[in-house]
Amino acid sequence: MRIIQVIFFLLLLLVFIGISYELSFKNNEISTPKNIEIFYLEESRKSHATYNVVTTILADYRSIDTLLETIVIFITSMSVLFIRNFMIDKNRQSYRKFIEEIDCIYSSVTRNSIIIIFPLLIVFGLYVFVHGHYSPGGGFQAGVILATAFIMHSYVYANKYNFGFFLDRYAIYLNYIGVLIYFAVGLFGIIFSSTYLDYQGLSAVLNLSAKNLRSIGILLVELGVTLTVMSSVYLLFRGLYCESEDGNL
Amino acid sequence: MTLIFLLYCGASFLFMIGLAGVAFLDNFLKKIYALGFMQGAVILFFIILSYRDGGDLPIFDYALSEKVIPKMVNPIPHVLMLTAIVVGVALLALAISILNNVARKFQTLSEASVKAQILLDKKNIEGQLVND
Repeated sequence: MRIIQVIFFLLLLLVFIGISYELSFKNNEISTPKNIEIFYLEESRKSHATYNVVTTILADYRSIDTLLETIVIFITSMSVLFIRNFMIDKNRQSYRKFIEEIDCIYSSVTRNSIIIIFPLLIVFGLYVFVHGHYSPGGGFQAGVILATAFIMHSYVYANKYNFGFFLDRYAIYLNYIGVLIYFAVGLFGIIFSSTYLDYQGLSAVLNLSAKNLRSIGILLVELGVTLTVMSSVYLLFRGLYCESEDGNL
Repeated sequence: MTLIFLLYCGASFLFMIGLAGVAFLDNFLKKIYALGFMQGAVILFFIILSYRDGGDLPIFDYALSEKVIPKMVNPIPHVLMLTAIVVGVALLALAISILNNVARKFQTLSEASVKAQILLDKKNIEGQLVND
């Protein structure tokens, strides 16, 4: 039985190697239909002030996809909390017992190194967020880096009074606020201009050229994405890390 | 044996390692890790697909000097893969939270024990039906 399974796997691997042999000859000719990447590259050169073409495609040409992505990750974090019965409720008896027991696990080595690493990670996360226009980066990546910093902090500094840094009290609110910021920037387009998520609509509030308006619009949208992704990943950690009610697993 | 052929082979090896892990491992949590392997292999495949010989980053210079557009790497699969990564994270998180329910019901994380318990349940139920 095992031998048949192994032979099947090796045959499948040979099929994949054959496909890669065929594909490796066509890499300079493979393009998206009707060479649409040339269109995106030239248009973003002409009408955008951001230098990173991936960011303009993500946040301007395909911005509705990105809005739905943030809604997907928002729904995921909420449903993980629902499946675990919202274990971040601080008045539960088992939650309090869990908190009292984890006070003494980590040694002073990890505690002292977290003090040094935590502000550096926050600064690095904000750097990656702001420089999404000029180098690889943007909202999703920066959100994950910031969430990592807060998760590391709450591994070590949890005690019976608070489970972590201030993000613990406001994580659910920040989750909603990120999506609402993204939604609001889109509504500016409808109110003052033509279509949803048309960044020219911000010209009613700010007084800039078209290129810079699009830059500011992309930055606001990435701010919403960063807040939502940071809170969602932090809530995924908190929803999966707690003990259940009756103490079994 | 060009470089691109070897890169595609690497992506397919990663995919097969993940698939073998899902099929042959005993611990359910390790199977979830192997799912992550397969996700990484598929994303790597799309990124290699967008590569071009002598390719450049799809980022214009500070001086907006003439960075040649036809030499730039295709940026569209990169954008689609950002979406795919987010979907993968959501999938793994929900898989772990459902695994928690399974582990609580069967009190074990091993596939062989779960199979044995299900077969034992079936035998007991069939025994009761025959007796009735």
